[in-house]
Amino acid sequence: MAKTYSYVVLVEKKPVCKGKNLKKMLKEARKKYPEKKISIRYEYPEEILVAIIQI
Amino acid sequence: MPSFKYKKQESGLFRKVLRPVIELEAYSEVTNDWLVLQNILADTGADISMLPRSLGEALVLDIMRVKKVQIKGVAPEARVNVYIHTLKFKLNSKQFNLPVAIADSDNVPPIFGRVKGLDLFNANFKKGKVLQL
Repeated sequence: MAKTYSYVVLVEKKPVCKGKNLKKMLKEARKKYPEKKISIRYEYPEEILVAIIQI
Repeated sequence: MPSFKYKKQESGLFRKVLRPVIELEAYSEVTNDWLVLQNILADTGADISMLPRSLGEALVLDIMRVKKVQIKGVAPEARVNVYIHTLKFKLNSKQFNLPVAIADSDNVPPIFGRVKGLDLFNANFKKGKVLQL
């Protein structure tokens, strides 16, 4: 796992691209696979995760 | 009742750690269809759900059309600027409107928090291995 985040775009549950520019990756995936189910996976950076959120 | 196996991920402290991450569908007004979001941390410590900026921008045409607010984490000085939107989500066949804080950064994980999120379900965290919702 990397030191920083990344996104993975999946088509019908199969990864088709990985990177930081999600907008571009989604646009390309939608263009190439117009009728397929698209998923997005956020890849966590390698760090300690303490997630407490207060509004 | 959907169940999600905890996923093993890298950790700076433990090397490997199991985390309760789930999969949700979210309606995108950008693509006008439902997108599947994976690796969403189910977090009972979070008042509100949160998405990193790029993920928010995949769902909302203009995240900045609402007022920017600050939320804080475990350390009071650790504040994040966010835009709060109400978005349509689905988990299995259950559809619900979820208030989501879209961060102005991608360095925050996607989180499924309590308000109008986890609180809708009988969440059962089973011995650090499986989450049932």
